[in-house]
Amino acid sequence: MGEVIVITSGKGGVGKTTTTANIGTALAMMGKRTLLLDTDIGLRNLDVVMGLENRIVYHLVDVTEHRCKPRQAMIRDKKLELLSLIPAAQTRDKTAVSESQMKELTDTLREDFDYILIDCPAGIEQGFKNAVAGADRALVVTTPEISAVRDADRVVGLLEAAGLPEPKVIVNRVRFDMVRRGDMMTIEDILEILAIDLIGVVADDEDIVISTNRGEPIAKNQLSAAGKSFREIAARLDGADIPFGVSGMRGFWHRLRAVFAR
Amino acid sequence: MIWLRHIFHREERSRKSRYDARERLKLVLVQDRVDLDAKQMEALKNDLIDVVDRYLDIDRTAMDVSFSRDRGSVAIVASLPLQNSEGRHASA
Repeated sequence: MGEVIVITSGKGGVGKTTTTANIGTALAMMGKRTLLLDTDIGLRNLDVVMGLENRIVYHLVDVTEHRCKPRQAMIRDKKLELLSLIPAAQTRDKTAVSESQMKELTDTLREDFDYILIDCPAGIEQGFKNAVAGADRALVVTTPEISAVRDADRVVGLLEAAGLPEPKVIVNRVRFDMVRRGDMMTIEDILEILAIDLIGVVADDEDIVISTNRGEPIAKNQLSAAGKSFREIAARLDGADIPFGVSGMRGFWHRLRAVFAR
Repeated sequence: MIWLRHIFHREERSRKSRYDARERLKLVLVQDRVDLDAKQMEALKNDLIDVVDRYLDIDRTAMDVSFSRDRGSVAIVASLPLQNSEGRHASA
């Protein structure tokens, strides 16, 4: 039985879709049967980030409205055999799917996959509720900006209320040069404020833009630091104990855990 | 938020923007959590001090009232030193 993991953020534009694409790619590279589910109905993008936009036949709403079987809506990745995508509908809106339909769908799908990653839309309305309805775990993507962390905090509260306690955070688009100058919040600052576990840090890397331009998730690129970060997140998600590479972070993290374990 | 600015007055000019972000974020999250805006929080703080001041002589130059926040809970942390309390004790 596979696990259903929702990738959320609250705020838009922090890298949810890119993160979903890359973690999914990395999990498939690890030999895990992985399905990506785009629930951003009306604003679908996971297909273009994956470079699969020309292969769409059916979409999520076709599945929930029983116009096709889930299998028929799945698009196989160009290279990775174990990776598939069910795209969102582009011409409908968030109310086209209900929470119970999502739960039913994920419960059916989990029989055939090791991991089902749900790309959650921005916001905290119906689309968010749909995306988290069938999930077992949640990841929260944020960037080191006040607006993104504030929204992440709100989402953590809503996830708890939805029965998804202890989500893990990915801090995306970190500019380490700015952190060193004291002009960007540190990972420690963000973890202290959100008071949740870290699962990964991804540097702001122009290679991500380039790989997205080409529709090739950067996780496939063995030479890229950002690609490595995503592969490490995938491995941690799968239970591997991989130390965090950023100096000082791990020590801080253990102290923080000790504080909250009390 | 005059009282908060007061707390950080010493480092205000030299400190890096990271600290501005952190402190503003903490404050805004407390406001989100308790559902009070900055003006209401300032009023709450002043009322709190006034009530204590009715009974005890507070040293207003040394006091510190802030909101501390943890996941799931917000606390008002007030340090209100009393005027001349140490001196009186020493002379007794």
